[in-house]
Amino acid sequence: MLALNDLKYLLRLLAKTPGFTAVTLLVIVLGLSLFLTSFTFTRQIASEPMPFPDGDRYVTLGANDGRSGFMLQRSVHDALSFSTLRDNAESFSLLGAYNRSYVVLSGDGFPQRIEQATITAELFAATAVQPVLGRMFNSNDALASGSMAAIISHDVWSSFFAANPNIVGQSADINGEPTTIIGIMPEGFGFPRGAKLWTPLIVSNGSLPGGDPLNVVGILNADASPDSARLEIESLMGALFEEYPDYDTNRVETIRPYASLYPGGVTLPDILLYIAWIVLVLAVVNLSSLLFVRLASREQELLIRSSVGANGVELVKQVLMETFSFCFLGLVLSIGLSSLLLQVLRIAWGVDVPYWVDFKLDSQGVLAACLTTTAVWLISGVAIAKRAYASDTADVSIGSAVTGKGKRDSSQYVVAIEVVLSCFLLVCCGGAIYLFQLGYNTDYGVESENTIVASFSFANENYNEDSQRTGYIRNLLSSVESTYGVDAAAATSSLPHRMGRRGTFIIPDIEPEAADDSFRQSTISISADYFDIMGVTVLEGRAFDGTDTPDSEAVAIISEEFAEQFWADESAIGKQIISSTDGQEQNLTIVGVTSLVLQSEYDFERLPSIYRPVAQYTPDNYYLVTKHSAEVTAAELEPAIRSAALGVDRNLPVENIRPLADQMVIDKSGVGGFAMLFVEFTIATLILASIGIYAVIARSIYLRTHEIGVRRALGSTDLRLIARFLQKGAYFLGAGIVFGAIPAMALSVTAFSVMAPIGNQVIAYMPTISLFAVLIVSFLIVIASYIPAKKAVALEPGDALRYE
Amino acid sequence: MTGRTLIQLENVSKTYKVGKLESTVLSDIDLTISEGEYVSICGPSGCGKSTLLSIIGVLNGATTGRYLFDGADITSMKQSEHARIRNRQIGFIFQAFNLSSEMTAAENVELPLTYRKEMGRKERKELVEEMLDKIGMTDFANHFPAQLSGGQQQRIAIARALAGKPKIILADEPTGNLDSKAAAIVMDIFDRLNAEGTTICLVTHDPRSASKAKRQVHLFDGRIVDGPKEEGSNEDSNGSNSNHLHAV
Ligand SMILES: Nc1ncnc2c1ncn2[C@@H]1O[C@H](COP(=O)(O)OP(=O)(O)OP(=O)(O)O)[C@@H](O)[C@H]1O
Ligand SMILES: [Mg+2]
Repeated sequence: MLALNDLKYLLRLLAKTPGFTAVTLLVIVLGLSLFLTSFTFTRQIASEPMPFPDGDRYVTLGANDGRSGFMLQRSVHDALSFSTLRDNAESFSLLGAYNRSYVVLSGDGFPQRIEQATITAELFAATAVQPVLGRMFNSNDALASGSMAAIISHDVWSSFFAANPNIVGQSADINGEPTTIIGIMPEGFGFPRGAKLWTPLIVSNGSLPGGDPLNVVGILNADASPDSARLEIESLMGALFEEYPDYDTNRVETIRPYASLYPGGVTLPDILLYIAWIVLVLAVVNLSSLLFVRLASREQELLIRSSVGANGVELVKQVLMETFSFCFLGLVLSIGLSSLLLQVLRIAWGVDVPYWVDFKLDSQGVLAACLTTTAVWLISGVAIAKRAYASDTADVSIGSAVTGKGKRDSSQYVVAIEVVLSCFLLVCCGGAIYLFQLGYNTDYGVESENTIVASFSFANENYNEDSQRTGYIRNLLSSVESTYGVDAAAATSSLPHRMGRRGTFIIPDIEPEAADDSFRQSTISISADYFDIMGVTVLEGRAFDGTDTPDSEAVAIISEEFAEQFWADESAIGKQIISSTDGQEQNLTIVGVTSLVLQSEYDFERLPSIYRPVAQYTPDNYYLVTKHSAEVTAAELEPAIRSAALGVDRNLPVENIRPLADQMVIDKSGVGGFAMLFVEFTIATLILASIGIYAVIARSIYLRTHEIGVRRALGSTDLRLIARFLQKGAYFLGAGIVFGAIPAMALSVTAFSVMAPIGNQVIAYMPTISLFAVLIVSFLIVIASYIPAKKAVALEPGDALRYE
Repeated sequence: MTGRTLIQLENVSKTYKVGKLESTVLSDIDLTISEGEYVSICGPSGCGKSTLLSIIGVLNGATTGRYLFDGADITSMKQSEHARIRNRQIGFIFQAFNLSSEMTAAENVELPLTYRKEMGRKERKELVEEMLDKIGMTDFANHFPAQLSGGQQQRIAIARALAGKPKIILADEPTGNLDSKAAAIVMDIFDRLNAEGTTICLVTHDPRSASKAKRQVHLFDGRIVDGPKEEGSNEDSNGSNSNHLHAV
């Protein structure tokens, strides 16, 4: 194996050529760490297992809308369907359910609104996470008799109860009900995502359809696949639907990994991973060519070794060891760098990350890196070892003339691959970055100056009636408006850059496109002053006002874009749309047309918004939007708004009070994370391309120094020689355009075309982006050809002839 | 049969800098070569023969001194004019042949002609054929250098040097890598060429080759020794062997 002498020799070799060592390591580390980062990142957000026993088999039972194909909200089951499935489904080792809501925890201090999960005790116990204080639920807790029992998060314990060590067994008020705290979960624990307080959920058999919606979570049996389980669920649900015709049966059952943040289809993470692969390939090509260059410069040394008796095998071993030292060092550095990158990503991603996604390298990621490195080592090592072996067997002194040919040919091949890959990557990344750039800088069509938002939610049993909800909103708005410094206040169920409730619509007399039998829309509930506050112009008709009541005509306001799509030549005012949201169909009369407000930075489908008055459509979740004068700051207003809300209902606080502009930045943080990765890929590509293209072209020109001398002896001018190399570069560039840039452009156009209309904007810009990418690559090629060629002809021809 | 002055070196010296060390390889070289002459430069290894030849061939510049080629001052010329002189006025032959390994024999011969804009493809091909014929290598036109013997390679190199119809042929140890038979063929070609009027300057340390030349210049430690001292005497030298004196 590796003798101490060999090791010493290796280290000396690395130290002797620090520049080369640094560049080679840079290449490995860039390729490997970006790959490792994207690999870990995409796995964690797409298919990270839950950190529980059988954590990779946690699935969510959901459903898609049978008409539109949209994913229905997670709660598509009720007590009846859940208990039916629980009693009959055989694909699961456990089926559990939970229900999430906000509750108000009150005691000595400010009442705190926290997220509660009412969860079946078995599912909670299946996590096998033990409380740090107190105990888990037992069978008595699940009996509806005695007092209520709750387990709290570490967070709530330390913030609300000041980490009181004697809290277990004491009572606290939850939504006004005295509840016994029986346990405290470990720090960070949050299952279901975001829950901070847990109470036991009791689901009895024999209920009727239409009970409280439930989220159903299953742990798949070892021998069940998501597909087989889905089929079983489908047949069980089918039987249930026959028995109870009340159910809305127009749905398709789905099963997806519980932890997945990106369900289904080819998604951004996938694209990211593909690009990471290509960058890795570019790095491997680079590495091989760099090592080749190095080997060529050490041919003499290998010859000496073989002259003192080293055989081919020993030379190969020598080369493989050397390559290995690079790969190993590179691997160690890459693991360090990508751990760092992942933490940066986590920060860029923002707050909305489930607790089981820690963005830490796990054993699988490290294993993947090791395997990749081994592959890189073998690919480049074997290719080079082959040549080292040849230098033993072939007569190099005569052979140099012969192998000289092969050498040049393969290096040209390498340059071509590098140029093609670089063009491809730069065009793809350029497109993606432009997409993110557009997304990040989307003009939503609203003014965010001096505007504060806050959220509140009616998912609370005191607000089951619409009239209770509208009453609260009315009181909240007038209370906030009477606060000093506030100009106006409004409520909306969806802020710009957030989708409204998805649904479909039909317009009488207008045929929808053949594929769908209806158009898609997103419905947003707003109060009267919303447009005013957000700086949205009512172009035609009117905004909502006090005349819109639950009993008056059902009305809607649409955007100019929407109106033009269907009523280009006439006024949309007075026209009818039949909208369907959450299975409810309604005839709406259009009373107003406004300027466009975008509801999503990527708005790939750009669902047209249908605005409804609060009085006629009142969903669970709302935002309070407050316009204030320039004299007061958001920070000054925050406590005033908070107490104004508490004054309306102590048990329904408003939260997340912050300037609208800040809210938008927070919402974009995921975009920022992706954009960051793509920017990193672009930089990596640029660095790799520069190193690779320069190293290989410069080397091939260097190898021809002698030939350059001959040509000059024969009377070639310097300009001519340089032009010759530049012309070669032009061929590479041609290859890069044909096999790199054009396919990348075609691919991007295909990918972006489904992201209309923002995608169309990117597509329109693709030629410019591609041109730019090609210009960058040609610049690299020109530099890489010109400088070494210039150097070669700067030698006096007589000296050049002395080369070799 | 000598004519007007073609090469005129006046007080030429050449100094190389290797690191901090300066070494003077040539000093005080005065040398004149006239049209139609057959001059050999000989001397021990390392005395500066190749260096001198590369200065004559405008491959290297002189450190000091003046160099007139066909009456034109080389020192004051631009790089591109140097290239033009090498291409049109001078034919080089090297000890190591220096053929391009990726080109066939014919392509190698054609190479210098491709640098001449005014010459068409057909014209070039004819010339190449003529040259190959002259050195008896027509049958090997499509061989690559690796497929030729040393002697054959050198003959291709000679054809390449001749193809441009240069005013002077500069040969640096052209027979150094050849056996005596192949060497004899090459030397015969030189004889014949000179008889046809080509000016030849030959570097060699083989006395037998040197003796074929009509004039011998001896170089020792970077200086010309025992050579004809007066330029004038070169002009009308009829028996160049008269000054034959070995330096070593
Ligand atoms: N580029 C250079 N840099 C430094 N020194 C050089 C260079 N070229 C030649 N020399 C030195 O100049 C001297 C003369 O070299 P040159 O090649 O002209 O000798 P030569 O007479 O042709 O010898 P040989 O008969 O062995 O070919 C040598 O000492 C050599 O080391
Ligand atoms: Mg020499």
